[in-house]
Amino acid sequence: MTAAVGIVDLAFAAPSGRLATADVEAVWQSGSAKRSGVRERAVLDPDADVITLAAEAARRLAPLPSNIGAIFFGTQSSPDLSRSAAAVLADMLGIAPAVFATDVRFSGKSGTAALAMAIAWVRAGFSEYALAVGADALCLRAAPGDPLEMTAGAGAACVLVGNTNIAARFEALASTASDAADGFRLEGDPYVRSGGAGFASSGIGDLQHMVGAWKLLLARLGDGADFAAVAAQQPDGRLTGRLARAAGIDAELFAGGSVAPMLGDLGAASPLAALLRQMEERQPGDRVGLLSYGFGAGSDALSFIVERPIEAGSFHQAIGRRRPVDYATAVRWEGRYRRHAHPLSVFE
Amino acid sequence: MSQNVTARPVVAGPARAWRTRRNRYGLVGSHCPTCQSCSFPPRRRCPRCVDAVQEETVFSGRGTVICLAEDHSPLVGHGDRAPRPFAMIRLEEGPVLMAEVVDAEYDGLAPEQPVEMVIRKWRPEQSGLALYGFKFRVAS
Repeated sequence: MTAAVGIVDLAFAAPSGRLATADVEAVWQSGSAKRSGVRERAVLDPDADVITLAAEAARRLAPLPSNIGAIFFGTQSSPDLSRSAAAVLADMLGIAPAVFATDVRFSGKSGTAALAMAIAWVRAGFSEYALAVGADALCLRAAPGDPLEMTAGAGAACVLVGNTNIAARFEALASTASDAADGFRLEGDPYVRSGGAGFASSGIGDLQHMVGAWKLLLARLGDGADFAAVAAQQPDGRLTGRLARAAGIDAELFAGGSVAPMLGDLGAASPLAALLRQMEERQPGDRVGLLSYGFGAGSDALSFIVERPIEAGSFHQAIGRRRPVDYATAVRWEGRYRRHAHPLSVFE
Repeated sequence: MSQNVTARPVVAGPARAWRTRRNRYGLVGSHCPTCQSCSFPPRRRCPRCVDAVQEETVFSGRGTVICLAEDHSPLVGHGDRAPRPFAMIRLEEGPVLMAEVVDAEYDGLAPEQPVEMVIRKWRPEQSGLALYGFKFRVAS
């Protein structure tokens, strides 16, 4: 029998700026604001990126144990194409240089992919603790006028995985992946593109992979697997409803983990933020599911048994630290216009 | 002989950024075991009792605002930024430093307000990389 491994702590951070989807709708008249199920989304500050968001979330895990052996940084919106965000974060957290650090990328499921790797790392006995990060700033990757511009937010979640003092014991994992280009971003293109209405209306991509992973997970758990809550990917406020119908999951199980209506699509951070919310109200012995989706396409389904609840103070603080931002300010902060590489000040 | 004059400012390169990273990321200062005073940035000799034996220490990142000012004349690399608040901040451990206060408007800040450290981008370097470092915001 393998030794127990699981989530020791979980924390979240998001920018304070909020843009109402109605403000974007007023500019572009696309008619999709209500359909998205997102009231407002996070707006990234001009001096922030996924690394600063992850550093902020990780500081909420404090005190971090000194023997973290690995950092897996899951993101699809790293500021650098080759430099490792995980290595920069390791230095920011004071745990460099004796640490294994790597970035993990699979669009929206980058965060759960990083978590699965951290669990495998600790389970293999490479170190007592590992840090998994799911962080995205999709608002930088949404084209002006694209429906994604209304929903694409920013946020980061950090998960401390370990083999002692476990809050949620890892139970099982099932994944699916196949070539379904329902979303993509090409080299040199700053913006994510949708694969078209055919994918969105048919569920090929999201529902196909998520339902597939969920059924595989249930098969691995065997008969009688009863879930108290499920934390799911939320690219918008509607996917969990569609998923409930398609996978036969009670919609009430998703209710406690709602994230997208207040913050928008958090990409790799989305399912982990939902998991943090779901962990707050749980009782020891509860089974919690985690179900992610990344366009391209793939899904991870994980199950955990709760040993103690985790306070979601960092999530409530992130929600409470809210500054309304108008569309013009969001455009400026998120750099939607091509500008001079080095704007001069009055002294230059 | 004419000199090669450039309109671009001389800013730190990746090597200099590497040398200064610990202070920028972690508020690493010094503690004097003789008189118990703390300094930031770290000192080789205690500015209070001049003892030459100093211990490295990582500050908590919590402090209070002493006084505030709004920057209307942006520094190098910030030509496109709106006015933003800066504060003199006394850290819990004693040292005083100046830093930008984020997630807040100048009018919403006041002396004695508790603040906490966050890491944000200071400025883009000429190489294109971002230089990260400490800033502060109103404590949770």
